[in-house]
Amino acid sequence: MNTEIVASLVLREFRDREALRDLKGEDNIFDYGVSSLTVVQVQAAIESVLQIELPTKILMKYPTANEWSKRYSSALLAK
Amino acid sequence: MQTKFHLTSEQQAQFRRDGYIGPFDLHDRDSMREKYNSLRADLYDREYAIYDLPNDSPLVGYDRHLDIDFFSMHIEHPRIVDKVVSILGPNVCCWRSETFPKYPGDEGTDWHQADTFGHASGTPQIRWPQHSTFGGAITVWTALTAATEETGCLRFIPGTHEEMHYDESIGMSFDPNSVNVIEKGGVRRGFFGYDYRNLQKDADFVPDEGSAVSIVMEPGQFVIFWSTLMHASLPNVTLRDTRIGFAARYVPCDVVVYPDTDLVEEYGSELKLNKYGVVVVAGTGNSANREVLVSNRGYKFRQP
Repeated sequence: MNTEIVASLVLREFRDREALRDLKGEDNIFDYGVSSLTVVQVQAAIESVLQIELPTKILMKYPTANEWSKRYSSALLAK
Repeated sequence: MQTKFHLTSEQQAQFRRDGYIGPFDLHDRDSMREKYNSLRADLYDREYAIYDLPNDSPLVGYDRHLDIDFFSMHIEHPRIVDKVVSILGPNVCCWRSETFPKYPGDEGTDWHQADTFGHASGTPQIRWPQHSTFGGAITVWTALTAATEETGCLRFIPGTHEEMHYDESIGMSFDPNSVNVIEKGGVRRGFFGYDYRNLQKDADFVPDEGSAVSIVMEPGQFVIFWSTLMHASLPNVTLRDTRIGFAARYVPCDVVVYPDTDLVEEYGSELKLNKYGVVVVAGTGNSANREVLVSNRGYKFRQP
């Protein structure tokens, strides 16, 4: 799966949540008042499609869709 | 001996009368905002957390002073501990901490009082010495983000801390589907999946909300109150502003914590207490309680 497809998937999973409908790739997800439960649900949805898991604590240090995409893409390449 | 940041005699009298005092300044607003940005990530890092819980458990915010350095330092900060010593005496333990996030759209919290803290688990979590005429804990609630009437600040009914209107031994049933859907007195509120009204000693009791005050706080401020004070919080009616508070709970060291308990079951989660202990923040401890001297991440607490 190429980087663009991963980026599209990640952004779509975030935007599927009502509170994050207007999220842009570079936006900090926490600036949208998103709950921890929602973030964990988004992570689970992405990982279900990609069949790969990243530690939540790493993702939370880089809380934008763009940064998540980079990390998932790198992990897929290393798989 | 009086400590540097003790409560004045006037403040102590006010606390005895009202059951709370504050807010006080701890961190300036800008530095607290900056710190909160890194804390948000730390809260998801459970590598050193003492409870084995998934990140979607309602109890992920329990006792993070035992694994996150910022909170480890916070619970023994002299600006807090000196004031708590003014109330509880020279030997003081921190027995519990909790984070209280309230996200946009979240309901308010029911009016409640806590004496034994057994309201959800059904088993007393603290036991004061037999001769004591009173119980509860001192809660120090610090705003990590702004706590306003819009984001869901605390509400207190002053002077209600000496009479319990709730019996925590009655027990409540946990229903996560009840969160965010029930209106009480015209306000959408609940108790994290419980209904605190179920513990009322008098089924017809209604808290006197007309006497309630809102505790509006800037990021980095804290307020001190008896857990037996009638308190609640408002819903978060904002679109994007998360309110998050950090509550540290203190008791005199002769209070026994989690008597005869190895496992706590509440809010749909389990806490195994094998790594749990109190932190003695002033004076000396009590052999009945296991004491933590070093956090799970390696932070060295004050040595009693």
